[in-house]
Parts: sequence; C-alpha cells; structure tokens
Amino acid sequence: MRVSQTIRLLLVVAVAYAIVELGIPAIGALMKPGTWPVVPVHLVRLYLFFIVIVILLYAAADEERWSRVRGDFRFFFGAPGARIARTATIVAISLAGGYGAYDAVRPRFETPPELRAVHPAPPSSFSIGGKMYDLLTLDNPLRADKQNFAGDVKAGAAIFFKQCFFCHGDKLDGRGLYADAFHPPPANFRDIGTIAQLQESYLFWRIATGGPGLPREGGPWMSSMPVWHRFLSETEIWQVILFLYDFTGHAPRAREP
Amino acid sequence: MTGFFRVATYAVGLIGLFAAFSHYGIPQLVPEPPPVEERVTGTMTTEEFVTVGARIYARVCVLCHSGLGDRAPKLDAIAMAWRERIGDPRYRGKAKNLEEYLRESMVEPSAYVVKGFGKPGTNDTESPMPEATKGALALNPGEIDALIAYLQSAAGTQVTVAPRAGLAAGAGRPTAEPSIGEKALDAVTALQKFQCNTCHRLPGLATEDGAQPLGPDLREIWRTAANRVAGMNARDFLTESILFPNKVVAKDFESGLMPEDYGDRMLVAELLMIVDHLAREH
Amino acid sequence: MRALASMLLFVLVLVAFEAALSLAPWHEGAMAAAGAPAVEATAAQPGAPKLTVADYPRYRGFNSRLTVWIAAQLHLFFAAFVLGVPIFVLVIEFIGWRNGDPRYDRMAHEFIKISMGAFSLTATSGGILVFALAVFYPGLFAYLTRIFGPVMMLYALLFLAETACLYAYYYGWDSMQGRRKPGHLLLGLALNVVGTLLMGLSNSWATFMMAPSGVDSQGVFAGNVWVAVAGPLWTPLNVHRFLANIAYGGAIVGAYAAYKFIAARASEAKAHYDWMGHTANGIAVVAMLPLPFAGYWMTKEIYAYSQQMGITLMGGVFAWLFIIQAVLIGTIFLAANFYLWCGMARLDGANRTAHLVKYIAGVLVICFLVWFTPHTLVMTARELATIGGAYHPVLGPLGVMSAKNTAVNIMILATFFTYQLFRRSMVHSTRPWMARASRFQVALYVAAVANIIWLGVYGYFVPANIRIGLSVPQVMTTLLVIIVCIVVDEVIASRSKRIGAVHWGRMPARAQYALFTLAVAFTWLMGLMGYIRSSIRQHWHVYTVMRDGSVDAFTPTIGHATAIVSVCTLLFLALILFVFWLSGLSRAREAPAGLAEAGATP
Repeated sequence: MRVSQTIRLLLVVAVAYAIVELGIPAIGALMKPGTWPVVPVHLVRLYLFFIVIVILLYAAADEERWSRVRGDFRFFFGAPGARIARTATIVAISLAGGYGAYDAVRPRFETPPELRAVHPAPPSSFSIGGKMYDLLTLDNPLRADKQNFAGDVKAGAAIFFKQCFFCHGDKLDGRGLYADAFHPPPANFRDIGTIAQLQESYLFWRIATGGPGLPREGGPWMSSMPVWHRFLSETEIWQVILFLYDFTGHAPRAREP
Repeated sequence: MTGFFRVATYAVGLIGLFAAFSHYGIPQLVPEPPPVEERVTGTMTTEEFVTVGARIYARVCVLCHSGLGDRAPKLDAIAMAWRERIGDPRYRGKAKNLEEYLRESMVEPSAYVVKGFGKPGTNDTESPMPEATKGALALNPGEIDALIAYLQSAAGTQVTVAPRAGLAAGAGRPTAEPSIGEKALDAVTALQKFQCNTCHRLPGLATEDGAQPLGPDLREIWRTAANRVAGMNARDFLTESILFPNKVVAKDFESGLMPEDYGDRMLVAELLMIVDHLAREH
Repeated sequence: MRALASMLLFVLVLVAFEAALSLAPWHEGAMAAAGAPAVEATAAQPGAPKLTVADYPRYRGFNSRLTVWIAAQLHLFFAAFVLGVPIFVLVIEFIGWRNGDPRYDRMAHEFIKISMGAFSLTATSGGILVFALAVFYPGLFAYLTRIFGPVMMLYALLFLAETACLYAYYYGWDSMQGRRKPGHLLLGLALNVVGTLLMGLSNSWATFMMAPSGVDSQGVFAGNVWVAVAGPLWTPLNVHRFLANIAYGGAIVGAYAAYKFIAARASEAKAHYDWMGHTANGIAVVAMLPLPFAGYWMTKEIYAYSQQMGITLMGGVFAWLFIIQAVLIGTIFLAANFYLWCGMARLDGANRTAHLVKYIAGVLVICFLVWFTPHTLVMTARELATIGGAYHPVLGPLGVMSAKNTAVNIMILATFFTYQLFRRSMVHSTRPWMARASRFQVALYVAAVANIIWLGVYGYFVPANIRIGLSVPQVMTTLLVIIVCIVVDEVIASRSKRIGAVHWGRMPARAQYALFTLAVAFTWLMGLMGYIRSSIRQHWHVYTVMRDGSVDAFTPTIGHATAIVSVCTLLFLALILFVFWLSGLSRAREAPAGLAEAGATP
C-alpha cells in the first residue's frame, strides 16, 4: 500500500526530530564517554521550526504534491470515516498545547537559562594604579625576548600551578578541582574557541581585571575570575600568558597588518 | 484590489514577524550608556571607584553643585580652571596639581573662593561651603578620594587617585539603590540629616554659622503657616511645602532653589516629625 | 512634464545642499558669538570639536537621531535601488542587442522605467537627509564639510551628470534603436560609471566616520582629501554595497513583476511577468551569492582597523543582531530556492530532475542548522550537567567560523545547482560528449564540496589568522564551480536542441509570494545591517576622534532598533508601491505575444 504524501512528510519530521534528540547525543556520547550531550531545548525548537518550514515549502513547491497534501488534509478534516482519528488528533493537539503552557509556567527548582553574549567587548584601554594600557597596541613584551623564552614559560607554569590550576585544571581544559562549583565554568584553554581566537592583549585585560573588570553591558557575567593584578605583577601575568599558549600549542591571534 | 490588500497584508505580516522575533526571540539587553569619559571605561578599579564617587556626589554635593552654576560653581571645567585659580593672587592654598586642589577645596573650602560665590559681605574671601570631612557631611578620606576620582573623570582628565585599602569603608561596595540612610530618631536630627539648616533658620537648631539666607526663616512659621493658603491648615501647608516646594514660594525668595526630591529621600516618619516640629509653638 | 518636475526637484536639492553648506559655518559663528565654550575651542584649534548637549539644537516634536536615521535609511534604500537597477538593465540590453531578441530590450526598458520613478524620490530623500543632518547635527555636519568640502562639490557635479545620463538613457531608448544602439549602450555604461562613482564618494563619508583616515587623533585634518576618502574600510564597503545594490534592485523589480503577475488576467501578460520575475530572482540570487564573502572581508578589515570595534560588532550586544541576520538570510535563501523549485513546473522536461529537489532541500537544511548553531549555547543548568560542561562535543565545533564558512559555501552551491538544473532541463542532446560534460560537472561539484569540507576541517587545526585566510580558497572553489558550470552550460546550450518548451506563466500564485518575501526581507535586512554598521561607532560621531555629545549618544536596545528598521521598511515599501502605481499609469506596452511558448533562458 502506498503511504500518503502527508504521512511521509510527517515521518520525515519525526526522523529529523529523532536525529536531533537521540542521534546527536549518541554521537556525543561516543566522543565523550560517560556523558549524554543533549541538544539544548532552545536549539531544538529552532531546528525543528526550520525543518518544518523547509518541509512545508518542499510540499508546496510542486503543484501535484501540494494538491495531494491538501487532499489529505481535506480528507482528514472532512471525511466522516476519519472522525475518530480526527477527534483524537484535535484532542491530542489541545492537550499537548495545554501541557506546553503549563510546563512553561510551572515553578521549578532550576536556574533559568543563561543568555549571554559570546565575548565581552574589551575597553580600548584601561588603567591599573594609574598606569594606562592601550589594548590596541599592547603586545606581550616577553614574546620578543627569545633568549629567556623557556625561562619565562617555566615561570608562567609555576604561577599557573600555584594560582590558576585549581579552576582551569592541570590539563588547562577548564576541569580543575573547583570547576564544578562555578557557573559559568572556567574557560577551557585547549578549546579552539578560546585563547586561540584572541590576541594576547585581550588575555592580559581579562586576567588583570578579572570578573569585576567585565563591562556592565551584557551582564550579569557572574565570572569568578579574581582580579589578578592585585596578586601578580605585570611580568608575571605575561609569563602566564606565554605558558598558556605554549602548553596548549595554540598561537595567539595575530594583530592584523 | 483584493490582490493588493493580500500582498500588503503579507508584507506587513512578514515585517511584523521579523520585528517580533527581534523583540521576543532574543534577549533585550540594555547596552551600556556612553562612558562619562572614554579613558576610564571598563577598568575595574578606577571605574568602580569613580562610580562610588559619582554616588557620593549625587548624594552630597549636587544639592549646591547642581551644574547650573547658581548656588555653587560649576565643576565641569575644573580640569582647565584649577591652573588659573592657583595662579590667582587671592589663592591661599598650596596645591600643585588638580588632585591636591580638589582635596584642598573640600577640606579647606576657603583656600580659594570663586568670584561671586563667597559668603555675603566677605568680599569672596570666605566660602559658604561646609568642610567636607566635618559636620553634616563627614566624609571619610576614602570617600574624598572617590569624589576626586569622580570629579577628575567627569572633567575629562586622567584619574590620579586609586582606592586605598581600608579607607573607603562602606563605599567600596556600593549598593544598587541609593540608600535613604538611617532613620532619624527625632525632628532635630531629621532636620540635620537633610541639611535644612544650610538654607533655613530653624527652631531648636543652632543656625549654622553664616548660612546663606537662601530660604525663609522658619523659626516663626508656626504662627503663619495656617493662614498662608486658604483652605489649608498649618500641617498640610508645611507638608506640601516640603514635598512640592515651588507651589507656594515665600515673598522675596526665588522659586526653584529648594530641591524637589525630598519626597523620595525622606521616610514618612521623618516628614511627620519635621512637620510636627515646625507646626508646634516654640 | 515629469522630466521638468524632476529637474526642478534636482535644482531644489542643489539649493538645499548649498544652503546646508553655508548654514553650518553660520551656525558655528553664531554659537561662538554667543560664547559657547565648545565651539570657541574649535575656533582655537582646527581639530574635531568637543560637543556638548548644548551644541545640538532640539525641536519639539522631532527626535534628532530618529529623524536623521529614518531619512538616511530611506535615502539608502532608494539610492541602492536606483544604482543597482541600471547595472543589470545594461547587461540585459546588451544581451538583447547581441542575440537580437526584442523581448530583452523591452524588459530592460520596463526595469529602468520603475527605477526612473524612484530616482526623484532618491533625490528628495537625499535632500531631506542633508537638511536633517545640518539642522540637528550642525557640529558634525560642519566638521565633515570642512574635510569633505571638495568631495561634496564633486558629488553635486556628478549628481548632475547622473541625472543627465539617466534622462538621456531613458528617454532616448526608443529613438536610439538599431544602428544607434551601441551609442545607447555607451550611454548606459556612462550612467553606471557615474552612479558607481557617486556611491563611492558618499560611501567615503560613512567609512570616514567609522575609521577616520587623513586626520590625527585630535581630528586635525592633514589636508589631503584623497587620504580621508580612501580610508581602511572604503574599498570593502564599496564592493559590498555594489553587489548588494544589484541584488536589492533585482529583489525589488522581482516584487514588481510578482505584483503584476498576480494582477494580470491575460495569459500573455502573465507569461511576460513570470519571465520578468524569474529573471529578477536570478539577478537577486546571483548577486547575493558573493555577498557573504564581501561581508567577511569587510568584517576582517574592521577587525584589522580596531579589534575593539570588531569585538563590539561580533561579541557584545550586537552579536544578537547577527542571529537576526541569520534568520533573515535564511528567509531569503529559502524564498529564492522555493521560487526555483516552483519554477520547475514551467518545464515539460523537468521530471528528469525534479526528484533531486528533496536532496537539495536536505542539504540546505543541514547547512542552515550548522549556520544557526550559536557559538555559545543557551542551556539550562540541568542540560549543562547532562552535557558535562558548557562545551558540547558535537555542536561546539559547529559554532566557529570554519564550520559556518563551509556551510555557507555548500548552501550557495546547492542554490546554484537548483538554478542550473532549471537551465539544463531545457536542453537535450544525445551526443556522447554531452553525457561526458554532465559527468564532468558532477565530478566538479563533488570535488568542490570535498575541498570545501576539507578546508573547513583543516581550519580547526591552524591558528586563527591562518583560519580566516582559509575562507579565501573556499570562496574561490565555489566561484570556480559557478563560473565553469555557466561556461559549460553555455557551450552545451549552443550546440544542442531545445526540448519541450518553457511554459512561462505556468506558475502558482504562491510562488509570487516568494518574490515578495525576497523584497521585504532584503529591505529589512539592509536596514538592519545599515544600523549595525552605523552603530558600532557607539557614542562617536567619528570613531575615536569626535564624540557624540548629544542626548542620543546611547546605543538603543535591539527591540527599539529593529522597530525603527521596521518603520523604515514600511515607509519604503509604501513609497515604492506608489512608484509602481505611477509607472503603471503611463500604460505599459502590451506584453509581447508568443512569449508563453518560447524557450528563453535569461
């Protein structure tokens, strides 16, 4: 028996939904055993909305297909024979809508989702204790010093393991001892999306001024990053930065000509 | 014609969809307002410090230094003006830079009096400004620093003061809402708290030395208050005059001088105490 | 009569311009006389004035920023349309002249007729913009005039030349046929050259405000206008706007054709406007394909100019505007593809390829989902726990530029592939070389997609500055496929016979709504991107040189900004509808007969 056009399209939606809800977490579980990386519900909605729109457009793009789909609908909503199925569907949709509304407003013990911007925009300059730092031109002074490079990296490593690794982890992957206590979690420096995308001056600003130095805009950031310039000298901060790049194998984003 | 309406409806609907997504589909963050001065944005130490200073300024100084230049000198051009002033023969201080000048002006207001702003009859040798570290103002050194930082920042120059540990007690972590302050326990403290004696002569309160008669003498107000406005008893009249000072302005006095924000700053209990106090026979 | 009116209008605008130029210094003088400290400072030093709130005249009932914003946006809409249309009109006219098919000539004429009506509105909105700027922002206007004075004079002269060219081109259309056609084409070329120069000059003012050049950090002008014009962002903006104008012109005339199609009763007229809509859609899509790359280039130059501006653009509050942009571009791509899919119905021979549509749709969906996936996922605390951190092992890698570039390139190839299917469905040859050519094209597509994906994956293993560079070979691959396929198709089309017929007009009415969607979404998107480009200056008139001291210096919320964009779009659509109506008043020539059965491939 030939399955009707509409049911086939609905099946496609169902398969797509299954891929999003089960397929992607399954792949994720393979890549990172022990977890079940679901697609966040916010994104699932966006994905499904888009998939449904494309399928509708696909159905409407061909005159014959479209008339078949419309015929199916006309049959479903008009034919006396389909009354039970029709009533059941309408009831099911109403119930689902009602549950959706209930689910959206019922009180729950969960923090609401975070809507934060990706990178906080740095100021063009900032000052510590009266000294101005111009982020547009600031470079790591230690990087040019090839002779002491190894020594600087080593000093940076020492500082990292004294100060930073509790949160950022001994592998620099953001999985330190205290990492689970923080939300947002500490940055994973090995990820291609963090320090590999930034210039060293940006890191200097973030480390030196910490969470309180973030712009009010786009907040609340809730960053637990301490204000390191109170504990580290300028040179020490640059040494740590050298170490971060050296250990992860990333290169800082080059200042473009 | 129906075709036209259908197309128009479709277009308006589509635009509405885009606008709706922009309103409800994404978070409506409020972008940061333009910084007071570009040089001090985003710094955690300096900016926070300046914010503290701004809060103190709004609480303490703006009453007179309102930016209009009517009651006290404007401070926006201070970054340029201080050089001329310390070069002025009338200058009696020893400041060498803007930071020192500002500190000196707060601690020792009469070191230099801007022309036209001196106490009446002193030929601009004495300043009507109270010493910031004493009396009703009683700012601590940390708060003075924060004010300097704020003034420097507002005037568009480099902030040269940094927060010193342990000085700005209570001011280092400002609360989000400007605090109404501790509740005054009696009418006289309430009058002091709101610095009514800066401009008015008041019953039961020693007049501050040389206070400018910016507002009417209120020592005898209990005699006349009930007859000032027809249909208003003394208490109603006094209440109105505190909350809406410009509704009825006493003869020979200027309108618009008295701040209109006491309704936001006073507790109801304080207002009632003050009204009772003024309306009572002395 | 219309010509006279338009001329009058132009003279008026010139007078307004002159008045505005002379008004600004007068105002400055008046302020100095009144003793305003800020302007006094200007007189003392030649740099950018430091403006305070007092330097901005305010008029009851007018919000200064909104007035200038809306006037500028409307002017840009009209200018983009008026500059874009002559470009493809010239190309269509040229094709018609070469292949001797009079229908091309008529379509080109009809296109330019719509653009004519919009021309006077362009001048009017430009005049309003100049007035508004001089009245509400005299300090800024005076400063820009001081630097760009000579350029503005040149601009006025070029505007005169543009008017002359356009009128000669339009009104000379019928008389310059046959032997005199090359002359007419040259006139069209002159029109486009002048138009592009005009755009370049006015772009320089915008880019100067974003990335000033030729002035020092205090805004003191060094004296060389050319350096001020050719700032770091000038060329990218020129290229970006040039392409976008063509696409935008195509989208608007497409809406015109769709409107006429729906209104038409006779099958000849339907066929004519269907063909016109198809052509316009093709123009809009083809011009839009390189647009993302022009956009990337522009962004790259912004980053190069100032990392802070770049991060403001891509990272701060503005990051959310790019989510809206993604939705808008998604809408445009889908509408264009839907129109192409519907267009298969015109073909008798389409059944050979129609079954491919579902695979194309599938590829588009996957690419879009990759493209929509944000860098930072919005997730609840519970989701955070199940995922095991903020980094999603599957979706995380899709959030960065390498994945996005890959997706966009494949998406563009898929769209082009649909277009190509349509063209190829009309020709048929049994010769063996044709099969070989087809196989070659398929192999080319496979190789290109493989190369694009490989470059995308490779991007994860190299540093950021090299990764950005990888987008260039990706784009080159895409463009190479498009160009080679067009050439091969032309060769095939010229050496084989046409099969079946294209039944122009055999198109459902709902497909026309795809064209309306294109026009509305394009207009709205232009408004949005214009807002982003302008507002990343934040509280600066001229970035880092001249501060905006007005009360409107703050950045509005996204909702407010998009509401203004919606208002601008509505105003523009209402006005352009008026223009459509006007051009319908002078009775259009009857649609050429016989089109319904012909197999034209524009």
